[in-house]
Amino acid sequence: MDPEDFPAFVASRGAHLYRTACLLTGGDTHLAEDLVQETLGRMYTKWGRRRRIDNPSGYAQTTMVNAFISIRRRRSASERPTEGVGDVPDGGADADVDLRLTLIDALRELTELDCAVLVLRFWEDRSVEETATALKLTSSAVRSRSSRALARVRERLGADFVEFAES
Amino acid sequence: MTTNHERASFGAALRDAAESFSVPRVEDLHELAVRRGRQIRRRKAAGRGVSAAVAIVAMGALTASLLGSGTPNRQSAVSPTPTPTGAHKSVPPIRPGLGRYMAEHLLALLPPGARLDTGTGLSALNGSGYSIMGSNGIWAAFAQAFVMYGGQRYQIVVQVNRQWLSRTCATLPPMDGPCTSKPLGRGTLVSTAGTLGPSTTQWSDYWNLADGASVELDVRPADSAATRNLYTEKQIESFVTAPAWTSVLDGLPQVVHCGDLEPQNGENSVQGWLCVPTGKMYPDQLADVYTTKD
Repeated sequence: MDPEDFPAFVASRGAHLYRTACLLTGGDTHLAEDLVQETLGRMYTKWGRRRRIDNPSGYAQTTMVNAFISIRRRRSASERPTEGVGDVPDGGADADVDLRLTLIDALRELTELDCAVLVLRFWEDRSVEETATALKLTSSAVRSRSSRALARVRERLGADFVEFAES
Repeated sequence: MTTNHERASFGAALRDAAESFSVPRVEDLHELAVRRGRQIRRRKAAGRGVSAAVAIVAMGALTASLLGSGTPNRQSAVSPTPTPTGAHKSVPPIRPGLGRYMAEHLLALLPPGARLDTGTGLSALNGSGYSIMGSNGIWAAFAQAFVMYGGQRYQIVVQVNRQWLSRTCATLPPMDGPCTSKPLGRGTLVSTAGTLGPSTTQWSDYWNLADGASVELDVRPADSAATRNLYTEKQIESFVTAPAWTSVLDGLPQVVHCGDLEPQNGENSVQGWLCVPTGKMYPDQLADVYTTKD
């Protein structure tokens, strides 16, 4: 990728950002597109100064997560029902699709910070410290939120929690 | 207690779920990013311009007061938009307020029963005046609205632009829906539809005129359950040929034929597009953005 080229950055990172947004929004693909637009739009404004950004991909991920938290906090919980918002992921056997949908539902039911912690830790493979820096939390807060959120997901998925990746 | 095995399984599960979502076209992501990025730049520039104008007016008033005239020095309240040195004179003067004009007329052309979807934390209605879209020298003005209609949420985008080539069923990116073309007024209406993401369809209509100018109407449902355009065929024809867009079309600057247009940094006092081979600057509409909320 030509580091000077914003379209190349979008081409190389756009799909990953969109999938991150899909996880954060619990499968709301419209909001996911909005988040990607906001994130890449902010990156575009900084592109002339990108040499000051050590890690553009990481910067974009952090920007997206913070935009997501900001938008979710500005939304009233009563403005939009959470049931049935998510879109159906593509393909795979029925059992796999059911498991994915259950997982997406479980993410949607988490608080925005808990969801962001899980996405950064387990989708982005960020360390506890990196996650804490991105979310402006302490490391202990990240650990406790991560454990709590995983417990909630485990409750929702039941026995499928362990078997998910093996199915 | 969560075990390491559970954590590993959960990571794999997240990857499995994330990778099951169909990704929009890279070109669409890029275009949306550029639009949003320019909105942000213009808003920053507008904020700086207003601050500068207020400061200048205040300074003028203070100066006049000190001189004993008692009248603010109106000559000091210069335009907040800086004029780049060496601006290309062949670019027509920008119509002030075009962003608002675009947004208000999009609002006026919503189908009966549609209402703006406000309170989401995102702008429900916004518009932008002429700017160069992308690196291919096309000038465009656009507006977008997020609306609720029949219990569904839709994004509606209108873009008035001048392309290198008219968009036809042959030149448009292939979509999995039908593409039709028919004469309409002084141009041709090209209508196409296709799937963007999981169960999400976009309807696009292009009213092409002979010189490459076009009015483009894009409609996307936010909810997968929406399977039809909120505009009827007749409403689409009325929309794209509405007199509101005619004056915008007539004022469109010509396509800039420059192999290497480079945007100026939004932090600079001068913003626009520089054609590197010729050294000519094409001023952008710094402050002409209209938005209801962000």
